Amino acid sequence: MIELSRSFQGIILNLQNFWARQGCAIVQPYDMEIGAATFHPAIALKALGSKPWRVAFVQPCRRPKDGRYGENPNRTGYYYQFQVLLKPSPENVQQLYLDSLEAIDIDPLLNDIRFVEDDWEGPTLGASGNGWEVWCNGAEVSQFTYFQQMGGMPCASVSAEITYGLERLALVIQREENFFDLSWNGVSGEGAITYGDMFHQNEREQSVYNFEQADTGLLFRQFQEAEKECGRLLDHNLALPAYDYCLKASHLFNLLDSRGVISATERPSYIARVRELAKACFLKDLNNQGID
Amino acid sequence: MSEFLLEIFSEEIPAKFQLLAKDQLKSMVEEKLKKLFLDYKSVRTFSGPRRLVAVVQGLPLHQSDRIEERKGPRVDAPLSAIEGFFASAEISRQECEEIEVPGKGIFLFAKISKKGEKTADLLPIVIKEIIQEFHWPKTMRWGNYSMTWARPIRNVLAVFNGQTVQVSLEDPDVLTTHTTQGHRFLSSSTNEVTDFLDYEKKLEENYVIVDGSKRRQKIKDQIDRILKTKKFDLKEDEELLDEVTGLVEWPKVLLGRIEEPFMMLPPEVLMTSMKVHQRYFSVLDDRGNLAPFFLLVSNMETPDPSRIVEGNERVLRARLRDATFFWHQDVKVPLYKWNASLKNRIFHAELGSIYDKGGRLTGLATTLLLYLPLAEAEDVREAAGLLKADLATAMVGEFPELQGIMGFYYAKVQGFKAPIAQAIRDHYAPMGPMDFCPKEPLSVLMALSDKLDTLVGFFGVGIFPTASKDPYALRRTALGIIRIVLENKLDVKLSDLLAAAYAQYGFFKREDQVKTIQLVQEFIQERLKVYFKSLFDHTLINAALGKKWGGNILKTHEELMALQRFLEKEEGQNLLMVHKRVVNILKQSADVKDGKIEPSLFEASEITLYESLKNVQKELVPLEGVSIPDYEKIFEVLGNLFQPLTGFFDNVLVQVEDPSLRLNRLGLLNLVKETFERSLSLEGL
Repeated sequence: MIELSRSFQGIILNLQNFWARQGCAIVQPYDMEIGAATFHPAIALKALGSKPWRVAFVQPCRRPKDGRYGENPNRTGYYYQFQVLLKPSPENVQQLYLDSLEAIDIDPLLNDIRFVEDDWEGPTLGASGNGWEVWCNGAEVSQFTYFQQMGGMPCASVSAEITYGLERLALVIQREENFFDLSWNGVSGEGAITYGDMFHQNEREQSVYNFEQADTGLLFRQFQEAEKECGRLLDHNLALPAYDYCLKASHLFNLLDSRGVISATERPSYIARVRELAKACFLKDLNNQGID
Repeated sequence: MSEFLLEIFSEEIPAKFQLLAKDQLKSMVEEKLKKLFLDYKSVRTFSGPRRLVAVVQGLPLHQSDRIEERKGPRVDAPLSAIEGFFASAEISRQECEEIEVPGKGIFLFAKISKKGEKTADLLPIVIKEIIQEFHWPKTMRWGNYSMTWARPIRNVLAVFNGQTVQVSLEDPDVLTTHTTQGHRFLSSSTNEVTDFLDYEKKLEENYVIVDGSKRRQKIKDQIDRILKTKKFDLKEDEELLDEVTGLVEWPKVLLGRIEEPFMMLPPEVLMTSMKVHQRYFSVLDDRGNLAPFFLLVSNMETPDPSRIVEGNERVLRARLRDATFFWHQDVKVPLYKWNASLKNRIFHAELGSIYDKGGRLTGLATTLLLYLPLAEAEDVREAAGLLKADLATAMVGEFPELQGIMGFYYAKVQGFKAPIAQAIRDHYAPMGPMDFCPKEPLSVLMALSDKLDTLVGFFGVGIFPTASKDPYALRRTALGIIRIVLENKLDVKLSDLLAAAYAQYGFFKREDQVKTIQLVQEFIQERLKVYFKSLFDHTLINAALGKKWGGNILKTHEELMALQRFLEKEEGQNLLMVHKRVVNILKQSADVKDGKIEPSLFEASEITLYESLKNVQKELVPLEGVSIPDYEKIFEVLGNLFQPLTGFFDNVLVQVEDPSLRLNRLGLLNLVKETFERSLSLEGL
């Protein structure tokens, strides 16, 4: 059996503790379907403006297209990210990150850890940044990004965003090969709970939904309604509720995309529609806070 | 003489930026020093993941003293202007010279002697300007700073003659030091540095090889050592070697194993997955086949590297399991069935989908059989209908660079004929001047069709390459056509092929056809000139590819080959000389074009020439009856004119008073010229 600290939940707890000690506010996952932790309002809406900001949290993410009916050991349509945002990016941010790896039992002196160029772009958020994917013995365990733009606007103060791919990281830590075999609670024997116990059935059913059963007519209607509602709320200066509808539209687009009903030609225009919503929400939020 | 050492220490810089940055730093340092009148012996620069380094040897401690000339106002300028000039240059009237500037008047010139400044006081300028002006392909900001760099700068080491060059950069907030950091993990000390030798040595003790070429060599040596014991060979990959050199400061090459079940995958899949995702080198066995091993270049030295190897093997297993999944999924689907989903895949917004292109290729390849009867029509239709199918497969979705290759494997497994599978694989080739060029008849036909369709399509909608931009690689496409034609000795006229391609675009207007085809042909003609440059003398190329080019690439090539060979011989040079003499005489006599020839006016040497001409012409007729004549034979026949022509020039004067005699002789020479140029491009030689 593995020690508690190396269990899936142990990794989350240790990361939370580590980053709490660095002055991060530990917030909870956002209560909506999002494709990446960056969409969390505590990230996306806080990356603009110059107010210093430090948060960390775990976030379940949904990428319907990545679903594999639970048959692929390393790819799922529902997975966990651990997210950290440090604004402005501190001088020793890489070292902080490496220290956090030690806190979850990855000793840099026994492993081969590398920062390999990987600039990030989030087209539906109009966001981009420079950074790396972090390799541990060839496995990509984190994404490290210095945000340059959000909603197409330059970030006045540059944040460092660290995204840990928790399942990949746990594979390295537990020396496992299959997400579903990961120990969730660190208990062996009867009380053992694995990642598979938690999510395998979910992957199978959600994949059937994503690829076969999703009612595309309904989804198209909901997309249009979400888009419209987002605009209406913005007219009433309600940036945050509007942003929720932007997130809905984004997820509905992802579902439609995984059903294969959006052609290659239409795809960019859908992405642009979501991006316009996001931009408008960011601008409205800055206005509401009195920041230009 | 002293040494200046500069190290800009940052977070990990993208590997692909590093080599160019090294060159740029060198030229910048040189330029800055020259601008400051600082002599030096040498400037060397180095780059790596975390540092950009320059070392200047042989700098003086002082700038040398010098005299600067400064131009003042005209001598007749208002007094206030003149006095202002004296004041600003800090000189008196006596120290000024009056010099006349042609066309402008007499001006005052001040000669100001400048005392050389201390080099140590000038170097801060060099450092600041380099950091401010350095150009990266992509930059970023960090923290609350506004300055940009490839990645955040964390330290600047600047040492001149053993002393720190004090510079404080305010943005970012960095103070120069005489210290540097070693390897990110293997060293924890801060190292004080006095000069480059000391710097290089201390860094090596702290697990950093500063010199990229040494790192590269070290990787090669380690690879050789590992492979020697296994009797394996490296699958050479210079591009990958450059990249991994930029990913490590202390390379340690390790050997990992590919598990047996994955070896059933096509070798290209294994190699691409290893290279693209993991930056691993592939290994070949003694028969040149892919061996079940890979080489990884780590940046770590540990007592037990097996943990690193195991980790990498685990990642590779996951990747290859993915690839195996794709393989099994794709192979179940009959290849042609993927075509339907190509309707959604854009070839170009104005030229339709890939599906549309596939349809055109079937029509085009079938039409081309008229000119190039290389294969059975049935095979052509079948192959053309499958060329693009693999673009919709999961494997090519994951690895776009495997387009064609996956189609080949899937077609093979699904029992298509070998030539059809090969045609799918090879129809993108050649992708450049050194790339493989198709040889199999069906492949040749498909590769040619694919490129003709692309060129005619883009030109048809008015998209041409410019001097700086060629986003659709149309130059490479044209070169592909040239290579396919020449390397397979295809005797075809471009205009026929281009017309066939044009006809496939149903929406192109009929009336634009001539114009479009002409544009494409001229474009290929230009590329052909470039292609021939390394093979033939440029005067020959210009002669053969002159304005009236017929558009037969192979014919032009054969002609140039024969011309070149012929002109290497003495008789060739002689013949060329008499031809030139004939041309010059005709040029001077504008009044004659092709006057009637009256044999009764001939003298003896003229009769000999005339008779030889008639014989030569008779002999030329059968030689010219084919599309590509036997140029060797033509030269041989024309050689028969040399003696009679020499006799003619020795004994006959062309420019005589009597106009009828003169015109008659010019007419004879004109006939000579025409005979020469009937099947040879000698004009301009």
